[in-house]
Amino acid sequence: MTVIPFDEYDEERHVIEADQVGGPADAPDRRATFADVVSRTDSRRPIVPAVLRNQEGRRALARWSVGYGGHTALYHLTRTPKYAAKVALYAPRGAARAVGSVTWWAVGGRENFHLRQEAANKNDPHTWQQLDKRRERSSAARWWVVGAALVALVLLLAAVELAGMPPVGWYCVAVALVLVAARHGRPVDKPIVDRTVTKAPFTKLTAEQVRAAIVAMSIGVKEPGQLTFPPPGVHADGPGWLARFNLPGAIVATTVLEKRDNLAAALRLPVDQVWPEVGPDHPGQVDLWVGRYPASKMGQPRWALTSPTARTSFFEPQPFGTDARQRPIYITLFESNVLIGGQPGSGKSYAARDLADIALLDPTVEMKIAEFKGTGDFLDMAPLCSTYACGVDDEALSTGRDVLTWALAECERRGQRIKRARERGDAPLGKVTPELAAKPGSGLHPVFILLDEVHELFLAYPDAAEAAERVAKRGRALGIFLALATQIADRDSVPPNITRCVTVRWCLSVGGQVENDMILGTGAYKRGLSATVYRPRVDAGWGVVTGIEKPGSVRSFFPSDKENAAIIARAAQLRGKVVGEDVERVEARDMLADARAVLQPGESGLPWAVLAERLAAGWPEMYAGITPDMVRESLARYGVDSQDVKVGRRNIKGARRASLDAAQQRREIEAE
Amino acid sequence: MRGTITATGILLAVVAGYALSCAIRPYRDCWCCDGRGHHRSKRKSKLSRPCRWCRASGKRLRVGRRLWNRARRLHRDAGVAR
Ligand SMILES: [Zn+2]
Repeated sequence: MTVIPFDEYDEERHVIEADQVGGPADAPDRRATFADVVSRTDSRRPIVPAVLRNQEGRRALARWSVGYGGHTALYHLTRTPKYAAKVALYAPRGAARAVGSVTWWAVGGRENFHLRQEAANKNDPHTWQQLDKRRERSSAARWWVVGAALVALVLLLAAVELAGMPPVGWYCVAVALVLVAARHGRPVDKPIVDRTVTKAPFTKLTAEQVRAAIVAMSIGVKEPGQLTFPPPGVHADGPGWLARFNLPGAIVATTVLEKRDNLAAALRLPVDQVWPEVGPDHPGQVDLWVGRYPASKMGQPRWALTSPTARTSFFEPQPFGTDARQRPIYITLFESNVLIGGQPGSGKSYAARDLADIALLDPTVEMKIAEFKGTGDFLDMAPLCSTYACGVDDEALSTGRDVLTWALAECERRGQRIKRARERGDAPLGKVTPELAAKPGSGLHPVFILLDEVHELFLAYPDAAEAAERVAKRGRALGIFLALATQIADRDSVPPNITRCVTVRWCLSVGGQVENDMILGTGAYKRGLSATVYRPRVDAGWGVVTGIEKPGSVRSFFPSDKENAAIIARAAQLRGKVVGEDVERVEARDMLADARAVLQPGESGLPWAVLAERLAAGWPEMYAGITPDMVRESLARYGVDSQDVKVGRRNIKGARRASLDAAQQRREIEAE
Repeated sequence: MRGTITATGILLAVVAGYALSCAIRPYRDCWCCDGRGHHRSKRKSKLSRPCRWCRASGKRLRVGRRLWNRARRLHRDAGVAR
């Protein structure tokens, strides 16, 4: 800024802001002070490797070592005769070669060998003699060296013998010599010992491989040297290798994530062995984790819930699966609800079971499970559930609907209780707290509702879908957890409204991009969240989860039948008795008949809002919380149109008596 | 039968050994001048005449090597001609 004093007393001072052209625009460099250095919070590399830090990792390493060592030992042991034959063949050859090469060296055979041969070929004895003289001179002392070495060897052997070497020692020396001779005598391409594994496992990820692969992907990286690897570089991480690298310029890591197939192709590895992620420091950083084996071939660490003393909490994060790097992935049941989607054979029911197991091992949680497949996947949990339904018959389906109706009414009741608790100062955030939930008689204990193959329920009772949506929305803060599992998630079977208000979405193996985005949300596939790579049955349990701390691939735990039984037994022991009470079985009502019943004589029709109000007042156990839209949709199925109804002087949309009567007549005719 | 095999084996070994020795040491002393390369005059004068057999080198190619060289030359020439 330059100030030009035009005139000391003039008001028109010209202030000229000069634009800086060129030159440095950076802030001046500052020397690091002592305070800067001591306040640094650089993350330090762990002293003990990650694999050895937890028991699971140590156990896996030990198991692998024992298995590998045992196999190798047995394999070679069974082939000992073959190896002995090979040694017998190669050892004499090796000995002859050794003697030959020492002699050849001693006589200086290699000295101008080719020149001498040339001279002999051309029959030039003079040159040959000269060359031969030179050879003789340069190798004159070599026989002495050989002789001295032999004498030394003999003296050494004599000394060892005198020192009292046992015969076993001499055998060992002899065997060693024979083995060395055989090693020396074998052809280069014929190893004596056979290979123990048919295909060499993927041994190691190197920076070179990563660089070449990224350049080959043609995402804008031209030179291999453009990739930089911040410390500690490529290193072992769990059962695989982690390469953290910075992409050059403005290329973002998601570019790599989107082209995971290409990356796997460039690395010459199966797709489920290559797991790129966005790095922790900036959007241009990639954390590429490459497993030692494809994820589908790797085992799974033991589930913490299978421990005989396991106990969970509805309000705390609990492991429900593992990621590709075999790290447990956690979910907190409180304040969340889950939608599980996947084609048949994707492991849906097992995924839902994992969640149910978590809830079961918290003895305060009330369980309500309805499964509309009829195969009894959750039958062993039935004795611990306050409500259990199984099947696709009317009874099971209406029980499912009753559960949702009950949950809605429960939301209403709990809302009141929370309000009172808040007034007392027990629920400062207007939510259920662990203390409130554990208090006997508070009526705020956690509730776990699981509806498997829920599309069956929604197809049979369209109003159930709306109820589910409202439970999902309201129940979160009130301690009511809702898990919906379905194999088809299209617009008709699972309304998008439900999908939208569910917090955790778990998409197991699906057929295509459309189904994937139905469950995970629009654009998920493009963002690299795609469950289409998983094959049904083969990759059962694998899926993509969003709504948790770190969205990504998760494989649900697969407890064995024995472990399942143990979990149920443990839950029964913790609980003692069934928590909560069964829902009131509401007799299915005929809405058309009810609508005609609430119509007062003399009324030619009712607006939807009034009709909904009267229905709710007349049969609260069935119609509590019903909305005008729900009434309209339900009656539309009987062919009742939405028409203008006169209220006072205004026309409001509603149901006319005439069309209600017409619908009733139609139904009677159809029944005959 | 067994004798024939043994004999053939020994023969082959001998031939191989001879060939090897011809490869490593292709020359031997001239038989005419005993490797000196020249002949002493009979009258004990200081004059001596060079050996014609070994062209005064005192060394002559061994028969095996000579045959080998000739075979090689034939082979090479044939190769060039073709
Ligand atoms: Zn001669």
